[in-house]
Amino acid sequence: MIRTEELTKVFGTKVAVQGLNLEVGRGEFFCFLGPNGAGKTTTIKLLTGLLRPTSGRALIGGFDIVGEPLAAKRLLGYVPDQPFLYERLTGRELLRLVAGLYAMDGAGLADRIAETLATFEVEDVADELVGDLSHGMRQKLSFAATFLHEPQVVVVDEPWVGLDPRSIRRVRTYLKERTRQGLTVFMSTHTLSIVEEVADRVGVIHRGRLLVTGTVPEITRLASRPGSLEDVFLELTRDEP
Amino acid sequence: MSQLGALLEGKLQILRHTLAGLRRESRLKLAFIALSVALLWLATFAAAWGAFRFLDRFGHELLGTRDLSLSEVLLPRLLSAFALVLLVMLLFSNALLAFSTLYRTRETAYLATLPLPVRTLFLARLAEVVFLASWASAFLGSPVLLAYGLVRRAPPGFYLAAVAGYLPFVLIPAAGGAVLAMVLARVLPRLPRAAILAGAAALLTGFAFAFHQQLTAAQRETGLEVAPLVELAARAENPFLPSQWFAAAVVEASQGATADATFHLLLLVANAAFAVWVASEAAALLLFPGLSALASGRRPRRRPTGRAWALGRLFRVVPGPARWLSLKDVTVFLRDPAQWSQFAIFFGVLALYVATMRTSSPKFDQAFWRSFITLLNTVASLLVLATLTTRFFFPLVSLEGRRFWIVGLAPVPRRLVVLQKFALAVAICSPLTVGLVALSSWRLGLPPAPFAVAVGTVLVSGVALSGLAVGLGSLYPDFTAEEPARVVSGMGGTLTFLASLAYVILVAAAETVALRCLRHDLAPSWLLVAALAAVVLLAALATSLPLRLGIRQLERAEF
Repeated sequence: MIRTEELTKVFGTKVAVQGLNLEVGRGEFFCFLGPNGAGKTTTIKLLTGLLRPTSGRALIGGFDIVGEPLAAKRLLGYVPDQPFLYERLTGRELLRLVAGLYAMDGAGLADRIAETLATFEVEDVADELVGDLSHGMRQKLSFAATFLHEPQVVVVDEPWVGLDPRSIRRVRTYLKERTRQGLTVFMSTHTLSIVEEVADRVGVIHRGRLLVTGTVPEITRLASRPGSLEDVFLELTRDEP
Repeated sequence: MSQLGALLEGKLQILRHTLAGLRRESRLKLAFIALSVALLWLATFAAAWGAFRFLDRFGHELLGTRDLSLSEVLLPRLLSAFALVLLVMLLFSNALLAFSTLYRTRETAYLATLPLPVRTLFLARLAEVVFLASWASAFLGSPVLLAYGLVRRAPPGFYLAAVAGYLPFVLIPAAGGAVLAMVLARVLPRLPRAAILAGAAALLTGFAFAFHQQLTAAQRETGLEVAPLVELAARAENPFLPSQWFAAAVVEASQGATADATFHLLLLVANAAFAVWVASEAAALLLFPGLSALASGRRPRRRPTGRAWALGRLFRVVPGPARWLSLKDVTVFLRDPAQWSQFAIFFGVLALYVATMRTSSPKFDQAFWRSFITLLNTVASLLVLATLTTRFFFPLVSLEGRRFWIVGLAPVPRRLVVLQKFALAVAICSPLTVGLVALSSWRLGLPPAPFAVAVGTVLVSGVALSGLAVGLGSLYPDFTAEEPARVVSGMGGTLTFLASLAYVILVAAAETVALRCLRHDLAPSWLLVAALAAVVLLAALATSLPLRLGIRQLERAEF
């Protein structure tokens, strides 16, 4: 469902992502790891079409995100790390706007919105202005906005910031369950314990280059000494003095 | 370094980085802005110099002697009136800016967590407000004062007094505006919404009534005679007004009365220092309680689900995603008091002008005067429209920036986002301005042809100015800004206003030719057709070019 071919992004003289070749299949939970400034968010923005590649291409469900953006975006959902929302809309109005943008309409829409709000436990604050909500509530609302149109591919950028432990567990379980139903999840995070728990495959990026991909056991075996995913991550991304 | 010094130094560093960042801007854009700014300054100077020179000569010719002339009385009084208008404008703009700077920015919230005395915090924020609110009046006031000095052959002391008096003069309305903002922020959250609306309505009605009374009385008194006009201008010379102290200081300096000028300058300085002290004491009492009251007022703010988007019915005719984007833009606008109140003030001023304009005078039987007033009406409407489109529609694309993951990720072509905002701008601005111009033209009793020219010009200009604002807003967006006012105050906003101003000047020139042709019954002539074609061509160009460039830019934009 996600494929990148020699995906490269250069900002001025800085190469943020270099020749990224990656394939994530249907129903797969792929976790993307890397230290700060490694190129994770740039990759995510390239996958979602918010940045244009310097060279190479990214395909969502077989559609080039630059060449056929509308077809690709119909399949895609994105949860950003900073949930900037329209502060002067209520949560329900925000979801109605998103439904309008995805041309969702009809008699069942109000129920679908209510159901999505309930799934992410924001139905109680759905008629309050977004500007009055806490960071965590906004994050949950951004999940609701993302999942409203039933995307087939969801790209998630460090989604745990601001969520309480109960919400983290709920979102984590929800994402995992949805992958069993065929959803493809591409998640960037620093929370390695969650990665160990949910990831079908892991990719590690450092200085714009994809160092390795594989299942968690495959990755942990790469370490010079047996250890946790954290140990391997630190070893792989260590900068030589 | 003191804490205040450290804060101001930080602001100066930000300013330096911003100026250094100009190197990354397109050279064409910079050159256009620099040229436009220079031309605007020169045009203001030329207009002021022409007006002062005309009045000066007129005064001399009327009384026939250089020693005693009407201009000796009229010009200083006009300067007082100019300073009074500036004072009132500065008071309101400072109040609005102080509110957004003190209560609506994350910076104030951050500073409030630091071990800073509240007075220090307030003074640092006030310095920013003074700068933002006053640079434009310095820019447009300087050519007026220069023209005055040259016409009156003022000594160097005049220019010195003008420069020295400006800062204390702008500090007084800044302090007053800040106190007003802090009092409102403290009081309004405690009042029920109905009481606030009723109070605002009563205030506006009272102001409109008082203004109408004054103007009608003045119209009755003045006619087109000169002596009552001088008397009317004298109403600005109230010795208790800071504007009068400033005007008196520069007038006295222009006459070489150094002692009197120094007295008024010192009066300004002393009162400015006192006003800032009073404001900082008020801040110690009101600032933090106001922040708290605004943060905790009226929560939770529930809205009945069934009526949540009642506005939606209005937009049923709009197809597809554009409907929901328009609905979102209007809802967000209506829920931001800083936005809709300024919008209401713009149209209130225009409506007040139309309501109080003179429609009866023996002179208005003459075709020349009717054409002249028609032209003035059209230009006034277009200037308000240019301000309106720049202020409210230029920032729309920029404001999507941080939320572009919502609109940008949806299967909606980016060009639709630009075109939707353009259509929304036209739909909102055109009916209001066309209605006002049609009403004023009807009250003037214009014949059908000039009526059609005036209304037609405003109609196509509504489309053109909307295209300019939305197109340039997409071409030069600021995707990091959160507040619309800050988007407008950037380079792109300045460029848009100047481009809109240039458009208004060109259209006014073409309309002048058209009305002149009609007055002399030359229609249909090639000149009339050429003038009307020029209006349509200008409008088409101003609409299509910025929109085309803006769409191309947004389609390539990265977030």
